[in-house]
Amino acid sequence: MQDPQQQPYVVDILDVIDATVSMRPVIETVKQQAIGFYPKLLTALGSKGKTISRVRVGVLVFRDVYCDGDRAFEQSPFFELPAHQAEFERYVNAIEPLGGGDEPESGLEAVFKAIKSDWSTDAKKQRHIIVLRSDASAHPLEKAQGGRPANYPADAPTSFSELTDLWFSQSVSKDAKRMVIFAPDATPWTDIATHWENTIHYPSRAGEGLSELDAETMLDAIVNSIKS
Amino acid sequence: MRAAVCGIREDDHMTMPFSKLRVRTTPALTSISFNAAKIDGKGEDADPLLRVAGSRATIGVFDGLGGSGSMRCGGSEGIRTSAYYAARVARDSADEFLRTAAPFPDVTPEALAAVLVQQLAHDLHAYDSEWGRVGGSRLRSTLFRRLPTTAAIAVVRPKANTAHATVLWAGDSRCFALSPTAGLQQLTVDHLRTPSDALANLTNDSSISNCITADEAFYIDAREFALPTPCIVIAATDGCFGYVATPMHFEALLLAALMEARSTDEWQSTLRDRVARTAADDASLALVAIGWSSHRALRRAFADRYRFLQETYLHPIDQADDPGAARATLWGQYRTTYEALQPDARQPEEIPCTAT
Repeated sequence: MQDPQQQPYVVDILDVIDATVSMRPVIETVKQQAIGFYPKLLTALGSKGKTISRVRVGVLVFRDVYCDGDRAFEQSPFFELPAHQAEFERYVNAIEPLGGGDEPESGLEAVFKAIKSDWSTDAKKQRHIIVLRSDASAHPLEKAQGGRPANYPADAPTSFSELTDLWFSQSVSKDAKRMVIFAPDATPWTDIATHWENTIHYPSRAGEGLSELDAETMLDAIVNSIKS
Repeated sequence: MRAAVCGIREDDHMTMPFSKLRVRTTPALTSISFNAAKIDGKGEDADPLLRVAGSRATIGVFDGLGGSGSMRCGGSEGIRTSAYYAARVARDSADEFLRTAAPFPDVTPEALAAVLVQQLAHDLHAYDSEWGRVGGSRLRSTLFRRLPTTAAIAVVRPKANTAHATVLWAGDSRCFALSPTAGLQQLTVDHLRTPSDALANLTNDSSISNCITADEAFYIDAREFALPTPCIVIAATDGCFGYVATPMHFEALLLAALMEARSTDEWQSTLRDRVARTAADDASLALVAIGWSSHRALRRAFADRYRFLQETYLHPIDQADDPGAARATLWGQYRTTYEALQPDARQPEEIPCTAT
């Protein structure tokens, strides 16, 4: 009689990584954190007697759309894990810190692209987890009204309010979505952590280690909500 | 404010909070409860509330919400998740309130719920102030709640050929009635952001729209039922009913354990084992059977119902070429009685018992 409807539980993780030059001192740590998340997730699930049927991990690199041209955004497809672990690691390890100039960077446009990514929609039970790592504040979306650079994301919202509406809209699965932010206590990260549902913010410079307790808490927040 | 799970109550009708297995029997009331943690020692369900005083029985379950309650919290058992202590503080708070407030013949269930909300909010807030902030966490989140838990409580008062049941709940834990003639009937409506029927809820993954918590407004839904006796009233967390193929299978699980057991003690352990084997989550349950003089009489009363359930629902699903279609069709038949007592869902703004 055990769970015979056998609904697959699908977890998609999208690592959104600031790869501007100011991230150079911490980029290797950030890469290891991105690669290390999947085994940590599996261990945490196992310790709670939970299983998931499918995990996909993707990477979205962002820099500064106003000065980095076609390197402003680089996005991988979602990799099935563990089958495509090697490809995933290869993609992450190839991330190169460059450009960006002074802060702010294009973190909000990256959040928009993350929301619009190719998330799984074929399972009733799923988690869509955005993990964003940055050391900087973000350009306001209104800045694009003065002229959109060539590589600017099509259909991007023109204000933070519009982006907020998108996060709360039906186009993002309200039960599945989660956003974990490792970024400074700066605009817009503090506002997102305060006002957007299902977000967790660790106010820090990306790459800084979490305390053991906070790391456990963050992982529990994701794992314990999975009813597999 | 005391730490949760802090001892044994003096009331000789209340079994020990630490006990995992409890049985109380009076001539007309038989009650059992269990708490089956998925991982020993880490279960976030509280041991169920089970209090039999004279002819009145109070049962209740409390499921600490592990996702939103993953922040750490102190207490008598050291640093645990906020969810762990939430369920236990809410259980003790509700128990104390209902023990002192009952009997309440002239109080509407809504009024009772409104006062219970105030009691729970007060006790959880007090606990949170004293124990809730440990470890100097730097995390900020709109996902986290302070001491979040569900609750499903039934206060049952048998009278003549009827059991008056006041049912109080928040979240997705449920109360049910079970009788040989009507079978299993859900008495509560899940508080979900994406509401659906009991079959769809098994495969959907909706988050909870309302739960008891120390830091946000919440409400307790309340209804009064007059249930024909003999019957069984059940309170259960989603670990009990959330991992079966259909609601019919949950009824079958309850009755299979009853049919297999030769005594009330055995029914309890058998039911606990069967639920634990099925669930992929913590599971806790309390029930009170009203109107049977012995376990043997109880078993005999449900024998035909169990056979009917198997022949009408379980076997056809097992043997169907398309089990999904068979489940949907047969659920369509079963739900007529399963939902017959279930109240319409109310919007929170319609319920005048919200604490802030």
